[in-house]
Amino acid sequence: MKKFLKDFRIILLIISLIMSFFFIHVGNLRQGVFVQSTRNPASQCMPSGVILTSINDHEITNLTDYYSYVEGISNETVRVRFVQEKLPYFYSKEQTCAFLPLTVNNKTYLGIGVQNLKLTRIDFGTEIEGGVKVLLEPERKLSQEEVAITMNVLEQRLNVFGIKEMPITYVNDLSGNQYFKIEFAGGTMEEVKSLLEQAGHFEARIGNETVFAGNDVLDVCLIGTQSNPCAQVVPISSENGIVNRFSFTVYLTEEAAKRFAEITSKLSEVGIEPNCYLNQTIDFYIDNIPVEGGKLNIACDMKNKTITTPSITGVRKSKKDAQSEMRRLQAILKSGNLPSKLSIVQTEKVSPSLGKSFAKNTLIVFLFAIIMVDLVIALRYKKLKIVLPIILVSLSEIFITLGVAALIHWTIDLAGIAGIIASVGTGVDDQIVITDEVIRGGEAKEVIGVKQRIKKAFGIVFASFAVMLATMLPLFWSHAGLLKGFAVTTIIATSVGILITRPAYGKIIEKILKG
Amino acid sequence: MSLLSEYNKIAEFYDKNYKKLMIIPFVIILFSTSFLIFHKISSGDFFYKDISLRGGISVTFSVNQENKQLEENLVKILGTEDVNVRELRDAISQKIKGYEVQIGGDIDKETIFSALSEIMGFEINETNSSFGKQTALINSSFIWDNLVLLFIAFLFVTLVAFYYFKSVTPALTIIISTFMDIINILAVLTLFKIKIGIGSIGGLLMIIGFSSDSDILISTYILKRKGKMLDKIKKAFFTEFTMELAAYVTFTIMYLFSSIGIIKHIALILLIGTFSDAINSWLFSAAVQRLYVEGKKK
Repeated sequence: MKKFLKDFRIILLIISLIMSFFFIHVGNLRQGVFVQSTRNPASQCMPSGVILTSINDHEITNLTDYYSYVEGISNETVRVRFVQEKLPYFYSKEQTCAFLPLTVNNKTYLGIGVQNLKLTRIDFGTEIEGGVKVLLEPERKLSQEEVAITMNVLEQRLNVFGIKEMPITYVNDLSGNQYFKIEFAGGTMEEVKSLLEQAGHFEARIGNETVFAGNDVLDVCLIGTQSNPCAQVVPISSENGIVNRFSFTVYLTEEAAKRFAEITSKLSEVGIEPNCYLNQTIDFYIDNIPVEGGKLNIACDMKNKTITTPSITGVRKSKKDAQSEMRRLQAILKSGNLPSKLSIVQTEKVSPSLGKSFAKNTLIVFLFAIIMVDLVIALRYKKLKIVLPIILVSLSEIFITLGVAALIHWTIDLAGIAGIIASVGTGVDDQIVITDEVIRGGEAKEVIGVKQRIKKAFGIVFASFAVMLATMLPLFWSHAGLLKGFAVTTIIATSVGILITRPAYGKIIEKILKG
Repeated sequence: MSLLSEYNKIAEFYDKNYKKLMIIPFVIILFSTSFLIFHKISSGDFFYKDISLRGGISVTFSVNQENKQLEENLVKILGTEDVNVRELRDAISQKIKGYEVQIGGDIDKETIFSALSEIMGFEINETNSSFGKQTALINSSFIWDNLVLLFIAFLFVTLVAFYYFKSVTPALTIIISTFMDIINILAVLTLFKIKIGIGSIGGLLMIIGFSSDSDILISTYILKRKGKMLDKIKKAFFTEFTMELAAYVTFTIMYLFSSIGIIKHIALILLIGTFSDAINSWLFSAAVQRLYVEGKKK
């Protein structure tokens, strides 16, 4: 028995089960709301991924609590208390901090995106939890750069609302069709539509004076060329070694250029060339919320000049950071004009109550399927010592699959659930192959060891795994990634089977039949 | 044991008559192919497409009272035949829980909501229902895309089978047998006027996996194992039978008890596919492999 437990296949199975237990994180019984995202000003003191338990000593137990309290909040300093889980089940740390909220459209704005606390870490997506899903298609084909810009523009626009988390994903298919998918829990379709149709109101200010607003920006250079390097990232040397400087040109109206000259003429110079800057920065706002990192120095030689094509520059340590920062700023400035018009090709709204009944129904179907399959196995083998391992191993397989999904934050949608249920049926198949091979080998005249027989069985099992993988891989390029969930869960389930549970089952059955 | 002797009888019958039995899969595939071609000629399409392929609106709402005339009344009020109503029932009590309505074409959602409210006798709107809209735009390249997908899947499977058996005949047989399953599924769905949508592709790909899987198993027994052919057949039979039974049970439960359209649909495809696979694997693929080994021996 000791030797059996020391076998690496058995150890692997046990470790996987324990890890899955941690990843899935069952039974979050705390009171509070889950902080999905934080933005300025809340991001100054609170990270995302924590559990918010109280605001200004007012207990927050659920989402309704949160919204009703935040609705009536004044714009004085806000004190939040939150719990950060350091090690699931064992250790969590409670912290408090305070920040000053902003006022946006006469409303107090905290910059916290919250969700109801979930029972597990498994993400079931809008189809089950309720929510809105929108699929947008650009009118013409976009280059990789333009895709990045569009994502940024959409993000900026959606973040303007700030209250709700709205992940955007880019998907494309075999024919090169491109789509942007926006998904979020709660809210209505009208809300999303208005968000996509409205442009976030953009402003650039020096001190309290507006230099130019979104409608002053005629165009933004998005991609520079060799002959016209109007947008680029170049490495420069500085006191801190090599850094990357990005710069891109914006094209302003005459009036805005004059306003810029007028305002800058009043400013004084700080430092000496080439590090000479004006004493005030130019700050960017979107719908009156300051853009994070949106403070730019103005070079001294820009003072009192009517410049219609100013360059906006900034410095970041790595090239990648500089590029992404440049894209972000380009997106903000170009926010009014997306590289291409987007049209809504698919919208879906699931009411949370229907989603819940879907989830309940699925769970019942799931359990029922497992019980019935087990019954078939029981009728076939009739021996508890064979039936029990098969059942336990297939249950572990599902559990580890869910664990992996929770670990990689894979959203399990309805098609994904279909994939998992179907894998129950087919996953058991391999165990049948192994069992039959092992039992039969004993009856046959060809006397070979149990180990040999298991090895033979694994030939078939590996071939079937390769086939399943082969059929699921193409789905990654499937239509707008709509079936990706199905493919990924099936691949996870079969991989868990081939790598963890089936070898363990082979070992278990070997032990049982030998012992 | 009587079940076992029945089993042996079937295996022995199969062993004697496998050449004659090959006619069955050929008749079935002939029927399926000609049916699909006939359908293409008479209606312009090989199969029926659901709103995920043609554009349209779907509304799902909860209700605890049955309304048998829902579909009929929707057709009347909206003036289109393109209406599909699916009942959602509780998995255990089988009581009605709601309806999923799919309406093809370009009818706007307000018209649909007001028609539904009128028929059901209570307000149905965006807040108390689930609602999906699909424009026809998304579907322009769908068929082509998925043909490519299926082709890639087939190609991969052929490579795996070829690698595993190191021989062309078994690899090709497995692919043909699997391909026949796909054609049969499409024919049965079209025969029962079941519409094909995006979810169907998932089911079809899964069947490619499942079906080539069982073909590989049988082929392994026939080609790679030693011993008398009848014994090998009996062994393969027994293992395959248990596997297929487990699959049938899972898919039937998924189909009967799930109230979710896409899961039900995938389950149906898997059910038809597994059934077709049982016929094609044994009466076609296994028979060809056997002719191949026995031919090689001579």
